[in-house]
Amino acid sequence: MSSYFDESFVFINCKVKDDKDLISKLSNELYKKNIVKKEFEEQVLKRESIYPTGLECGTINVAIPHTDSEFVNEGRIAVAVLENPIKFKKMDNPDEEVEVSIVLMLAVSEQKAQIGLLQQIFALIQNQEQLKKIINSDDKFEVIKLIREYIN
Amino acid sequence: MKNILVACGNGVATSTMVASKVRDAIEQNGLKANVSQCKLLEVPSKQESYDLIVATGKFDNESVTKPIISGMPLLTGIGAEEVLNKIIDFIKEN
Repeated sequence: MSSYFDESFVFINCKVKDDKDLISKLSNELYKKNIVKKEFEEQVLKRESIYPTGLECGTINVAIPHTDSEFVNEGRIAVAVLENPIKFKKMDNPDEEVEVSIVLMLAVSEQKAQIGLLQQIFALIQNQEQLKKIINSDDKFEVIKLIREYIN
Repeated sequence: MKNILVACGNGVATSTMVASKVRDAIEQNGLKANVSQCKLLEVPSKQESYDLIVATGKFDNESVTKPIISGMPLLTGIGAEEVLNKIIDFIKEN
């Protein structure tokens, strides 16, 4: 198992009210296991309001909420595959929204690791076929396997 | 030589990815240009020394007088070729 993924932070058929609800839910799971610091949730929400992370990738869209490594104890990526897409503001234009089906919340403990990680994430999100397999999967371990073909 | 400023939220993550793609394209086209990075917030104050801004996010556009190209396609792959061509054309033309 790669250090970034842990089935306890992978949620499939996830039902949430909105982006804030989802960020709070994922942050809380990470905080319960001491992966992130208490302030992580608030900091991710704050960053998302200034620099949103919704990425328009095609039919299936992705968001990558995150914050600075100072609020992270251990590097992990929390994954939520949503039953119904939720709206995230777009990274390149916060005045617009995008319907997101997959959320990768990044808890990066070393800032310098973030660039390599982002490169892998952007390679994944450019593959709509792979994203389709992820949203159609009903097995957490398969979701992790599909993501790990790109992110390790 | 043309000076290109690549900006993202914190000036180190997505701008690094975009800057490396821009540098590669410049080299592949046998051109030369300076490519620097900064935070989106710094664009208004730094723009003076640059000819072109490539950004992966939005900033206070009204205070920026230099031409701006969205670097987002270089991250998502959608329309990436077009953006690189625009940047290359800009360097060639100006």
